[in-house]
Amino acid sequence: MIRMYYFLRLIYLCLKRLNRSGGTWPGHIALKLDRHFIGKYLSKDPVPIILVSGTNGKTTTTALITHFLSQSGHKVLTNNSGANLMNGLASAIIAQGKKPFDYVVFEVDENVLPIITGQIKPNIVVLLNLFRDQLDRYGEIETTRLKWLGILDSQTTLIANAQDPSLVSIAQAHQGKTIYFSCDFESSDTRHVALDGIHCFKCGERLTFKKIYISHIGDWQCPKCKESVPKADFVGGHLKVDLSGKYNQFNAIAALATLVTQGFKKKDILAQLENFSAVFGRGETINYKNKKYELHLAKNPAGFTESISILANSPSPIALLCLNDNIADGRDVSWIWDIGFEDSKIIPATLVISGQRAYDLALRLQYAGISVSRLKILPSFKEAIHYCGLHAKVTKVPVIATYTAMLQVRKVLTGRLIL
Amino acid sequence: MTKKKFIIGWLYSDLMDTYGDRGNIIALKNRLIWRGFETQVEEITVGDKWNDQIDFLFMGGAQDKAQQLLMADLTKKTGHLKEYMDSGGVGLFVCAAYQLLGKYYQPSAGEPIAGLGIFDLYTIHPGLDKDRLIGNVIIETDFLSPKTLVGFENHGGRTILSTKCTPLGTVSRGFGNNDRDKTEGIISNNFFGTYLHGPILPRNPHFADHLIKLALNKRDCGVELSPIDDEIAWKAHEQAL
Repeated sequence: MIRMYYFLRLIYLCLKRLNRSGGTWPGHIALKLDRHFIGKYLSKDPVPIILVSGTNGKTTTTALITHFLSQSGHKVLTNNSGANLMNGLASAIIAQGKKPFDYVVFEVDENVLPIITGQIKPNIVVLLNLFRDQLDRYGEIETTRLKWLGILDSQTTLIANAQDPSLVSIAQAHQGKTIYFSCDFESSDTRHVALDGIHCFKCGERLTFKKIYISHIGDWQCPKCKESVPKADFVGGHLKVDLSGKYNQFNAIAALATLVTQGFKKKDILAQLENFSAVFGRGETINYKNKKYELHLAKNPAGFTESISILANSPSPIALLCLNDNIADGRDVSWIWDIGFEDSKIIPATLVISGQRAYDLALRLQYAGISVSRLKILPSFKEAIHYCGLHAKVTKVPVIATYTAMLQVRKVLTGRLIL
Repeated sequence: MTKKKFIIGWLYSDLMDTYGDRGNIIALKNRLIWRGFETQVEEITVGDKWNDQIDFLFMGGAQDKAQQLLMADLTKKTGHLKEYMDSGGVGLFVCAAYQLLGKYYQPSAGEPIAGLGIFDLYTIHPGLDKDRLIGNVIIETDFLSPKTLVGFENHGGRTILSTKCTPLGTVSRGFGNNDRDKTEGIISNNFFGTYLHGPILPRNPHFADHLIKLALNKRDCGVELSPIDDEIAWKAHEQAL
């Protein structure tokens, strides 16, 4: 394995020198040569391993945890460009090289979590949420929930969202320790959008909600068997962090719970949360030709609906919404009809619509009650950004985009696809 | 003549709502509201009584677990559905709904599941080792202008229509009912069954208006629909061709 490792490291360095990001190729090759590459490598040194999974928020939560650890002087092995499949984790290991590390913090795709927990025993696994995602890729959330049942070793501490009923079912089946987090917000969503997992995991009865925050995340209870939100060890909702939206409050409290469990002081963690700046496509701000763009990645109805809440508070006269239908975005875009546009205030007067399926997104907005005169449809990202630049003021232009559209927007704004 | 309230019945909206099927309800409802109709969407689920005043009935796709939960209830409604169809009631049935209204569904393993027998068709799942029929679809109809309907399909079952049946259209791109005879969907009186997601109505405004006209003709006499700015819808439709 050592010789193979050096061979792969050589490939990685060559690619880097040629100014390509290298991507997940080294990891892909490593796994083809040895399926257990990741497990073997990580079991060499007894360093704490933290895995973060769920439908939305993995990258931000991983970045929050990593940010704190590095700011407090620790070296972290992490996958920081959202490459969260097996080849992404393996590539992160190869990219690390001989550099020592004190912690491993990986974001892990929902379908990959059972595979990786079969190879290593993490100290902590963080489960953020389970939402309806791209049906043509991952199917129902019930499929994922069943894949997750019982995969955690009793030595692993599970940190889970108490307000997501699917995750509570996983926690109850877990033999080891569970730490719950939750959030408290004043306002609650009274309307259900793209609800999944709304049936009791014990008796199948429809759950009722005292408060709903995002899709099916909220204060749930079963009217039949009385299952309800377990008491949380960590409650958030008002943490001072420079990230907008309810879902980022969940990400922040999940990160706090993880770090306190690892033995760090709450006071120190809160201080670092305050100076965290958003990562790739998750609220990061990019300057381009004297204008500022704030990028938000949205991959499914719940995530997109939350991103729209940013438009409800944005003082910008213009916003950019992008929809692609490459494989990574989901070839079938019908999920945009599950986004809660109807119930959101959209402050920016002009909405520039871009991407491969710009017309579908514009059509969705027309049916949501947005006047056609407010829509500027420019499928080319270059033209769309140029138009935004002409009409933007000093305030940040909010940009909401699906995955490959986000990459292409970043390419125009920074000249580079990924990092 | 004062316009009576237009009632859209949405069967099992809580259990059968995949692939953005709610977009069909959103499209239909808005096309009526924009023309000055008062509309109401009535969600009919397990245990609910039938409503005789429905002007348009919709039922969408579902994942397997949900289908099992509603089969018993849906079977009880067979009489209402048949009466409604025979009297010229307008209905749109997508994917799983389309299959369930047929004679039977033969899953990849196990006994065939009885359908409602309202559509003269049956569906066979050829086995999990065979590819699902997934992708963008274009079909040509003989009652719409322009002829085309665009959508997206994703189904394992292959549906076979009886020779007496009228399909919704012929496939010019994609699979349709099965991977052989190039038919897609079914038309039975004013009931339309299809595998087309998308959802089907937003990018096919002419089909949405056709359904509205059928529904309005049934209760009023000859209604003229004022035009709607469908420029974006047609651009999306043309892009798919």
